[in-house]
Amino acid sequence: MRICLLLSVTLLAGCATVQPWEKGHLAKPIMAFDPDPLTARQHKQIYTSKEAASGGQGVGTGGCGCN
Amino acid sequence: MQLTPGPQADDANSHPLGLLAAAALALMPATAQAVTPPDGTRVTVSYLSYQDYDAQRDRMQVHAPQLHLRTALGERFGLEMAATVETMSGASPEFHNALSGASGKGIADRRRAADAKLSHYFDRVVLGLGLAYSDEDDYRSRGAGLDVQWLSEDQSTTLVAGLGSSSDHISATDRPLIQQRRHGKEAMLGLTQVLSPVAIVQSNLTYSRGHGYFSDSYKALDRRPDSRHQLAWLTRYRHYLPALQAAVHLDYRYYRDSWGVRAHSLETSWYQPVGERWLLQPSLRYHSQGAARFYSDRFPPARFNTLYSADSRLGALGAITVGFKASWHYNAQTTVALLAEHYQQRASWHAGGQGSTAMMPFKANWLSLGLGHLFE
Repeated sequence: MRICLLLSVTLLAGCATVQPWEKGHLAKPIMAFDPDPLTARQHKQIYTSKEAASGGQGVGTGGCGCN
Repeated sequence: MQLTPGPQADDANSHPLGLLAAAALALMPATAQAVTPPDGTRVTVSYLSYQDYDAQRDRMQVHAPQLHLRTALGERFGLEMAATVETMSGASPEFHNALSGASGKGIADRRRAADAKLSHYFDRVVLGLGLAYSDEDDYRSRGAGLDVQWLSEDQSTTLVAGLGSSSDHISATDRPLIQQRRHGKEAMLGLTQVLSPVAIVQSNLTYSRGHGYFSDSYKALDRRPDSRHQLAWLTRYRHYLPALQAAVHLDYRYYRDSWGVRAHSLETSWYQPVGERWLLQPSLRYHSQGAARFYSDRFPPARFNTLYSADSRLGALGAITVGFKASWHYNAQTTVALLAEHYQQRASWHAGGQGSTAMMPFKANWLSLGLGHLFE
């Protein structure tokens, strides 16, 4: 928890106003948070069935009998 | 389909460099970070082949064709859908590493799952409604979620809030009398922030409360609490390296629940375009979790009629995934991608001390071959 807090505060403290014409790199597909939605679903299914932790990817995504 | 700040030509026009910038932005590819519905219709099909095993034998095998679709419905709506059919076979542990298949019984099941999300795009607000369905011989789950995203006026900050619920029905193929239910509710708050022209971060906090049947009816003497409250805090960072035209992804999730499980998951990927047609993507993930309070390394339990589980997945362990993905762009619309990953789980990899000694190292390999096409 403390690591996450520290990370969040550090990152947000470092942000400055970025103009619209400076956001070209951010718009590239490889900068997307979920560039590959099918692989993301595969990972969610595999890790949920092999580990105790889950969640964080959104709400209403349903469950399975794998855990 | 998370809304995140993207380039807007209208704003660019108000600046002296705006026209030049707008012209440059018009040449950029559409991305999932746009504040408008996706351009065209992107369809991806893939086939997943999965096998896990331990030192003694193979365990479960899964084969799954998968379909994903993302499209615009007019100028104000977007639709995302996915569907899969998983065919599973093999053996899974009744306790610790004692396999059900060792008795010759084995497991065979088929899972059909689908989800869909409809998004309505307003000027700086996106409203999303999602539905999910999963059906197996012994488990059926339905989920629904509603989320709202607000984009700030300078288009550098996005806030998201969401609510979800799920309703599951649990049975057992070898015990028809087991007919149980489980219900869950979820709430999510998130923030996406542009940090610089090459860096963006997203942090989502999800809290869920579940009530009902959580025990595993296939596991010997398994008896879990009838409620589970979970907190997942996922922070994702993306950094672009102009000199290499590459992107670095860094994800960290902190997890804790009312069963006493505490977990840390750290994942990093490198996205490296090579030439005009290739994208290479190595990745590494580390996961460490503490044991649930009622997990035990001994079997059978010292006392009956108490909460107890010998399910290794609830034990203290660490896991590492090493992956590599190669994508080949046939042209601007069509992409073929091959993903290969290796996963290992060991008690000794648990961060901060020895893990659950009853579990033996566990491994898995999976391969996924995908074909994507953009219909314009």
